Amino acid sequence: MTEARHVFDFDRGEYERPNQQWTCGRASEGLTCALGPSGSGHCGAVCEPYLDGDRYYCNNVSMLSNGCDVGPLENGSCCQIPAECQPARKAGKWVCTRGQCLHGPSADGQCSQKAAVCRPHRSIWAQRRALTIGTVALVLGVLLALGAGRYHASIVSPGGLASVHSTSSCQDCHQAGEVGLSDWVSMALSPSDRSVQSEQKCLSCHRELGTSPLHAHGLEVAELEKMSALAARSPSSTRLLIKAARAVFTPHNNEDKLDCATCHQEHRGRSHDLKGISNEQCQSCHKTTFHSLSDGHPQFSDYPYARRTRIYFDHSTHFNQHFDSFERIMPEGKKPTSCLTCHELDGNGHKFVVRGFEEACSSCHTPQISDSAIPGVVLFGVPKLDPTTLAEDDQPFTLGIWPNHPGLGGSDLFGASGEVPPILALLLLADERYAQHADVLAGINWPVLDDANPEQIEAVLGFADALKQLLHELATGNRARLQARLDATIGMLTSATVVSQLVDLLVEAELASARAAENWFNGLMDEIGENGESLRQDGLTFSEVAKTPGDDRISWYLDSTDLSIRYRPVGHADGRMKRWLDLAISIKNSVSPKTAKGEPSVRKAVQRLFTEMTSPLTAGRCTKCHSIDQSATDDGIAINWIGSRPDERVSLFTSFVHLPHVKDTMQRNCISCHETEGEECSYCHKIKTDVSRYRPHFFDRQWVPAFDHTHFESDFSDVETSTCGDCHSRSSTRDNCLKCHNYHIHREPGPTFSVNP
Amino acid sequence: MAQSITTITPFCVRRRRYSAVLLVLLLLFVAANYLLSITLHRTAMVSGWTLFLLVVVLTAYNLRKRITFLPLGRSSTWLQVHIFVGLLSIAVFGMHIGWRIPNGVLEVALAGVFLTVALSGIVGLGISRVFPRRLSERGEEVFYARIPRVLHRIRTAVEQEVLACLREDDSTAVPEFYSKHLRPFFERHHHFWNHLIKSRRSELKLLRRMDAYTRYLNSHEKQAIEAIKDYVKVKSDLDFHFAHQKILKTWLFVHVPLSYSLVVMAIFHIVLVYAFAGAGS
Repeated sequence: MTEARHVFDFDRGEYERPNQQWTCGRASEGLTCALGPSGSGHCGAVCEPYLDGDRYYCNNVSMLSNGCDVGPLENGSCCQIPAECQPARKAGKWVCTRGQCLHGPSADGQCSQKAAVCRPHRSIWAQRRALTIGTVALVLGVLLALGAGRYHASIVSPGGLASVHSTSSCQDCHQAGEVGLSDWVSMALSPSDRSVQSEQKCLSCHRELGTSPLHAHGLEVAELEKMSALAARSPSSTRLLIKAARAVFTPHNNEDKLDCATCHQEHRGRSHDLKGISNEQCQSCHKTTFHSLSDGHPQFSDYPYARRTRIYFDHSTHFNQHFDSFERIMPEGKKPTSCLTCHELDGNGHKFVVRGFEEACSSCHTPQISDSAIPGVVLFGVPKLDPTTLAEDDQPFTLGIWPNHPGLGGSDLFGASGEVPPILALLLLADERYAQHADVLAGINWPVLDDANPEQIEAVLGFADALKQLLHELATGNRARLQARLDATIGMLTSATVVSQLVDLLVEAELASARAAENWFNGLMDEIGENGESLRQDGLTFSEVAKTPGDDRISWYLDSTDLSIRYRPVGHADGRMKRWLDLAISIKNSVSPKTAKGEPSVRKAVQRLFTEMTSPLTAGRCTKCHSIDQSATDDGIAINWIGSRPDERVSLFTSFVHLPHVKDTMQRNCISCHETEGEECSYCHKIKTDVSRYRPHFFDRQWVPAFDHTHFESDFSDVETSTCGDCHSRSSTRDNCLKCHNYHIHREPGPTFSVNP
Repeated sequence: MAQSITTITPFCVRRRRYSAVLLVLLLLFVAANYLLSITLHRTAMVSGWTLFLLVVVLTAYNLRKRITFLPLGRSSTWLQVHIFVGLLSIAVFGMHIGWRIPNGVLEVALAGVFLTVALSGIVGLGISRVFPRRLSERGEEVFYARIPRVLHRIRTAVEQEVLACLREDDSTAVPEFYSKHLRPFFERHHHFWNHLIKSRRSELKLLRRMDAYTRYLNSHEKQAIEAIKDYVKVKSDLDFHFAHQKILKTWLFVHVPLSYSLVVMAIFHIVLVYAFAGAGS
């Protein structure tokens, strides 16, 4: 085959139209015309002869250009339209009637040349364009249908949720989840408050993140600034990578609010670690940078003892002094054999907590709590009045019955200072007979009134009347009257709940008060009417004080030596004593120095009540061990009734899980086989030998409780960074910031001010 | 002494230049992505928008071929940029999805479409480098659009030879052989996949059959068969060209429609990302 396949001459070449939508249907036969298909895909070579005068003329441009010499037929039809072959059937076969045709008729008798009519077909480009348009339309339609459909949530979800969020639905976290496809576009174009609303949805569940949850570490900006300034002073190595990152891209600063998604990437499947973050990411915001715990990490300054213990226990004095002279001081005591005698691992293995009092402390300290040499807390007391002055034969003062006080001189409660015990004062200050003369009575010598002026005598008599009426109310359990008294004094300062609970305590002293009335004021019930009115006779009658049989001096008891009603705890964890202390502190908290509510005399009595109740020398000696903490966020204080316990609400910068470390330490020190309980503790916790510095963080010189728990020096040496760095080295997989540190800081929720028993 | 002479063509220079630029851009993007992640910025947003812009630029190449009246640079330059931006987009895509298989239905579909477009592009790049060399090595080059009419002409020429045998020798040996064995071969293209692997087995088989048939023919018919054997070789070359050019045209039927679909899906994805932004997404 030697003829050229391609002819490119302008008048002989075949006209190609690859860029047009339609190509000639007869191109494959080499019969392409110069005109080509129309834009709508019809053959442009169709001849439709037109009549001009009496003759038909050809209008087929392609035929004219190819030289149609014949022209239209007489009937006006085109001469080029092939006459259709009418195949004939001969000897059972269809044969062509127009001459030799290699193809011949089809099996059903149709002419094989019938298909020779030009049927333009789409060009490759047009086919591709049609496919493109169709595909795009299909994709768009499918997307819109799925987005608007019933199961759009599962379609648009970018992946499975982490296991902790697995039960959440779209609308739980996304505002867009509450609306449909039509609103997504408008929401996407107005991102102003959408992010904030999404964060609010996170925080609606994660309420433990404090007041500034979106700031770094959940801390206030001022606190962050303060910590940043402190950290900037810490020596550390510098990581060039992080330095470069900071130089190129501005890291977040203290004022920035960080979206939750900054660190927590959701929709990565059930097993995805939502809290995963690299060491470099942690350090990009921090002033100090370093390579690892063992390489450049700042030394621990106060770890793990950032605050004093809640239960006052000086390890140094106990181990270096008390336990050495144990048998002499505490004959019933049991010396601990190891740290585990007093400490145990909590249920989660996170923390070693102090065992209960019975296991850890009781053998030594129970005698101190039940020491009967320490008198109980005074509820009520009767002063020794001067019988000579008040009971003059010629003109005795009208006082009715008064006990012949067995006390001597200043040995009674009121003594030479004349100061009324605080609880009694709070009750009597509601009575005008005492309240009006309280100043006059201050410093009065109750047993010797011969030098007293008439005003003082009148005050003493008024006080005595008020005292007897109070005893009557206590002895009859007159709750309404007692409530009225306290409402008139501390009711202005504290809540009704506190007052009500204090009344409950007073009513519980009814039996002891009734015995006091009977033993000390024989006939008191006849002097005072049912409504509290005075029915006494003129004059003064000293009655003999009856003996109190079987007085064991615990709980509510009568002290016949000074004619007082007192309370002393029955043992450790005495519920009533705890209520007394909590109420005393609650009332004290309500008397804030910033507010000037309440009468000065009432405020003074409240202060005296607090001082007496919280003294470590008061009955039960509760505050000798149970420290009182000042709240970091409030002006109030509270007693730590229990030692440190794991609290899910609390998340500090550093966390430490003891269990794996104890196991690891045991294995490394061959202790797993050899029974040496507790010895592994001393690998990190080393007791100091200086015994003089621990107590001042709990008490001042006069055994007055100190409230600031942050100013503290431990009786243990700080754990060295190198102690941890031995294992948490750069080469190990355990050298990750989050191994020890928490990002979200939930500060200690503070002391509990509940007064519930 | 034999001395090898290495010729550096302008094409090689351009390819090396673009490769160097690609490598630099890639390293810059990887570094930027890492530094952004260190400083806790949204790397997915940065890589996502970068990827979208790259996809738009890549898609614009197809539009560029339609806009021939604007001086937008040489098409070959656009093609080179298209190729290297396409390779860059694959790396950016990997970083965007974190080199992991996406989880969501839409994300999987989007990733699947992207990877299909990328893979078809790579295949297209490969065949556009290999096939033209093959086509120039065998037979006469022919436009794809003209292949049908060349086929028609070959078939017509063969049929003329066959008819001549029938007219002059009044023998049906050649026509019968043609009708039984050669007509299907000359009517349409055959052995598509064999040609793609450069196999001539089917052609040689047919020629051997013709040689075997020659012993039953007279001299005139033998001349006709010899002439037809030439046409068989030409037809086989034409089939070879058809198969390769068909592939060269067809891969775009995958690449182009899915590229536009990818843009649509990416826009839908962006709308969802912004509508559902925050809350850990």
